[in-house]
Amino acid sequence: MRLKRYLKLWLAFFRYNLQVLFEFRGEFLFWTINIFLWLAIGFLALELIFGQIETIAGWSKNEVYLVFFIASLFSDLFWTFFFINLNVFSHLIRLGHLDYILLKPVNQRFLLSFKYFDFDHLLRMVFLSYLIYRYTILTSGQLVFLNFFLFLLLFFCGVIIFYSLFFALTLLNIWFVNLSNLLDFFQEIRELGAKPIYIFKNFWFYLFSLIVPVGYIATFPAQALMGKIEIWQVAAAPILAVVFFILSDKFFHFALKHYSSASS
Amino acid sequence: MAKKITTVLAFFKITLKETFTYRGVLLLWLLGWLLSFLTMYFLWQTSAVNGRVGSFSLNELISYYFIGVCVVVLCGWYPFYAIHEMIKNGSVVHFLLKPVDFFWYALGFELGWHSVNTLLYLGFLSLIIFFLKNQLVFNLFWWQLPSFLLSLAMAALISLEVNLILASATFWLTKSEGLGSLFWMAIFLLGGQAVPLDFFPQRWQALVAVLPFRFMYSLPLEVYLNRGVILGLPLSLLLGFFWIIALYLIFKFSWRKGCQVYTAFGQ
Repeated sequence: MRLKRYLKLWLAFFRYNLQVLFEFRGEFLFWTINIFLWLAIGFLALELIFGQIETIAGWSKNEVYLVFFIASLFSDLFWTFFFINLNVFSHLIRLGHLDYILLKPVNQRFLLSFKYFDFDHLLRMVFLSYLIYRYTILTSGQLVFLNFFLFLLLFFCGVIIFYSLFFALTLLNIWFVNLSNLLDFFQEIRELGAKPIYIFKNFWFYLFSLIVPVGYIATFPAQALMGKIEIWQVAAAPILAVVFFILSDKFFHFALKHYSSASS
Repeated sequence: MAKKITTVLAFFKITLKETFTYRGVLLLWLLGWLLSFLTMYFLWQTSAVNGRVGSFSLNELISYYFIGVCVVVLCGWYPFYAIHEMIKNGSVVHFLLKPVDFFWYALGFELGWHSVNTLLYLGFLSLIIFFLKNQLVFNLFWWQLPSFLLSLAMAALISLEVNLILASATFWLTKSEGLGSLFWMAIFLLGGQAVPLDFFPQRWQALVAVLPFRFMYSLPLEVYLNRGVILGLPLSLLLGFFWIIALYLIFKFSWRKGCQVYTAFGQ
């Protein structure tokens, strides 16, 4: 019953945002082109790197492209569903308007996380899905169902892990008041995940695999698609997702206790 | 001139205070740059063949990205989004009504912000130098110091002017964030932030070398690394001066025209 109610609410938000999109069609077109240009720029940068070297940490050119495309899809997914909400969340804290959310008879985290959508990335997501399929074929010859399933599992866990992490980081606004560059910081983390995580060795590798697990942005899902994933990487994914989600939720409730309004 | 310097100093002091009030922003920039540097550091570490990447030695390449962070800390004068927001929400009116040249306000603001940045990041930069002292290349001889400092000043001024020109487009477009995004694309690829411009194919290098983006990032690094400046140092500096003057005139023109068509509400 509760789930049905929230699904209805989510669909209502979705419809509202879709109407906004149709109001500003020109802007949608401009940003869609802009986002495709970013993809081209990233691709060109990798081309220039591979003009000088053969492999990156033992990963061939096509394998690195696969990682890059998965990381771009990850980024698009976050821009579409989460970043815009986290940005609004930052503003609400800064301006002292969070009260309006806290007083509503809805789960506050749900409202803060899913109210807005940014559709500019939709077309690129479709294109990236094709590129991921194409480069999976190029790197491993075929797309195996089990590999695809594992890819989805790891990618989904990665989304939960980083949604939780970014949500928790946004809460720091309550103490710092102005963290206007949070989205830029999130992008830096995404950039880190857009390279094969095997460039890091020893301590750094485990740091970026398990503590700040950027490996789940693209490297491990890419390994899954290519059928090269290791058991511990699959096993750790749901555990990390649950741990990150629970910790971020606890932090959310802790942070709310320290929130003070600004006479709104 | 004395009046302009007083204006710059006044805005410089205000920005210093503001920057210290919102320290979280500085902390995030620091972490962001650290992550970005670490990524490139480890990427080239694991990819270099026999300690070389193209015509670069591994140490030169690591130094390229490290000095690159320093160039951004010192000269990354990118006020586009702040000014765009001021024009969009009407608060720019406070400046338009005052007898202050907006260019000098922006200069004072950036000077203040980057002074604090530089001071705070000195510790972090020293730490990297300490850990990587055997890998960082120091190719700058004392007689090259004036050229290096000049190229840094050029990077700051040209970045500021390009950002001001792009921000002034907001007078007509109201929402112009997309232009900011195009700027980031240009500086990322054509400025040399992604990879050194030497990695470009020869026929592209000549084109990239004359565009203003190279002067915002790559030129100080070319001078520092002492590997031979694209187009030669005298011509490059001359071209840099040309861009400073040309962009300043374009800014003055676009700002004046923009103010003429601007309407602010409810201020």
